[in-house]
Amino acid sequence: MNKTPGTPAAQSLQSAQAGADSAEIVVFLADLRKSYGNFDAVKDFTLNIHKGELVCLLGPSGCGKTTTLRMIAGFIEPTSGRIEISGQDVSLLPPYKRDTGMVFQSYALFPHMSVEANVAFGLENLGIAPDKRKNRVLEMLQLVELEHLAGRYPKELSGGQQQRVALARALALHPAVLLLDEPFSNLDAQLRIRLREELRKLIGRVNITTIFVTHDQEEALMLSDRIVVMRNGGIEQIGTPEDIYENPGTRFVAEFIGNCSLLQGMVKDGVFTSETGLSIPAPGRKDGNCLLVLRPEYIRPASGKALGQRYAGLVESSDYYGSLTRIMLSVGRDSFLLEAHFPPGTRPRKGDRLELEIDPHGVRFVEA
Amino acid sequence: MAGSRTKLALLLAPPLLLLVTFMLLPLLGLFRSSFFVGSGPIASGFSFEQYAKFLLDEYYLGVLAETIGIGLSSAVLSVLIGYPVGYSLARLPAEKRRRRLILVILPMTLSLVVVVFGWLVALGRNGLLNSILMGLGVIDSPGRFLFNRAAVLLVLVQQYLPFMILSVMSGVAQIDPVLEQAAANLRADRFTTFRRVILPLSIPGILSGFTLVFILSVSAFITPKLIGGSRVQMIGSLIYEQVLTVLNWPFSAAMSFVLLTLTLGLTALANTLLAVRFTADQGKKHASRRA
Repeated sequence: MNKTPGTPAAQSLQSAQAGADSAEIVVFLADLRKSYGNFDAVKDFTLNIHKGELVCLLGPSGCGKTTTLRMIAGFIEPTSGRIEISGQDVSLLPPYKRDTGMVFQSYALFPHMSVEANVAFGLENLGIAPDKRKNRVLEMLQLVELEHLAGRYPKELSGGQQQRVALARALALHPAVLLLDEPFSNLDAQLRIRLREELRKLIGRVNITTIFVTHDQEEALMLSDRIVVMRNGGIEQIGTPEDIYENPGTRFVAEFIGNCSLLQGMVKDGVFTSETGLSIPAPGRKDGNCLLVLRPEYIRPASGKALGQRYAGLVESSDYYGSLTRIMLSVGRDSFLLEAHFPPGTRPRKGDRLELEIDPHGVRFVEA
Repeated sequence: MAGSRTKLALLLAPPLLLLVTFMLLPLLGLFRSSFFVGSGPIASGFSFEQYAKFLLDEYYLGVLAETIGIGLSSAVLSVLIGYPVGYSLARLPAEKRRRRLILVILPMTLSLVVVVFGWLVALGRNGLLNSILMGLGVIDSPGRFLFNRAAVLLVLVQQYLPFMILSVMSGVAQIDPVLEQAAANLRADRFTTFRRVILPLSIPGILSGFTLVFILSVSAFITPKLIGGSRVQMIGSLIYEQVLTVLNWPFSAAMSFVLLTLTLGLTALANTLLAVRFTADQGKKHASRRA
């Protein structure tokens, strides 16, 4: 650890972060803020990113994730706060003096240059000798498996190929940090899934520190080492994908990532009672008003031996997705979302009665 | 298929008829009359004497050279002044751009004669420029700013600058601003970004503006006549004189075709330059890979 974060907030955050061990900090953001008039696009943003880590900024559009990324790259000047890359304060440096490599949403390949020239562009600006440059370009094109298209122009390439060229161009400079701005949003669904897997393998192979912006929770869960959930310019929660999904810190996180059932109510003496009178055991939870969060996997149709208390419900809707059926179930005035696979012919229909049980390991609470 | 072709022909017929009747036929007539023998408004016969008179005479060749020189200078000056303006307009948000564009176009709404007389007043013996310079004590007696090449160039550039600005603007507007950010991210400072990304991508806009300003400048006749007087002769004012004063129509027809060849030639050259530039770029890259 060669960096001592400046603010107490940063220190407490850092110790709370998963993986904040002896790994070198590559990107350090302290109290970053960007205001437009009275509107804070980004506020109180403090984050450490360690070497080789893939961190995802996740949130709905307008949450400030792209603004944060652009501040790191240097395209937007922060109103206040500090940005450090590899221990150097870069807050006031122009983009071309920052050690970042960015893949833009539209890829931004130079249309008047061949694939090869695009990848060589940054190396030329760094003043790398021609023979060394040529080797590096070839190495990068081999990495993204495009060496056979070196002489082509961007408009002669497919969207997926363009993305790989953009990636090769950014990686050619061996930047301290790779910045990806919604790199899959311009691709169709099937290609997106394939390229996502390719990207993960590629980033793993070069082991580069990466910051990745997306509004797609599935992308974030699958690619990231850590996810930073953003909302209204601030950080809502930081954690591993499993953390974020299994232990959402707020109602927003619970609802934004994955599906869940939410019950408003209060805990007293280890029992949660919903506003409509449903009671669910809540051992260890402190008394008070709260919101109960239940992921659909922890609710299942009752069968054989009882896991816990059973609740009788009415099927409100039943949507078949092949591997599972998604059922909205009303119990009294509360509704539950349940996902399960039913053997052929036994799938509940709308209006059926269904008994469900709740796996007590899956019960989570957030502040109401 | 045959139906749609008939429809196309019918749709094209009216403008085509108009162009053939009022442009192509008169042009052909003019072309024919450039080979007439004689020097009156009505002549006949067939010879190359009009072309020979123009192309073998040092005076006329001098005027042609002057015309090309002024045309090129005016186009180059327009690029230098118009490029920054066109670039900044292209990068403005649409609302602001619209307002400033009016300022650019406004001078074009004035009649050319009004503009030229305005310049005559401003640059004249008792004009604005002289009053200011004398008031400031820079000069003691009124200087002569009219009737020279610089004055003609000044007025031509002022008139045709909007064409350059608009060409550059529409060219630059097609360059995605994110490319500038991509270049900056790849360690290119502003000058390198301009030289290697913005400028090469603006070439089509610059070239079309350059061609327009050159063609308009070499065919100008009011400006050289009134601002340049007898000292600055351009081919346009020469043709004007031959048609209206001397009434030597065959000779003016021949001069018109020399001018037309010049402008068409430049347009063709600009187009090939554009084509060559892109293929040359490709060729160079291939060569460097082989080396």
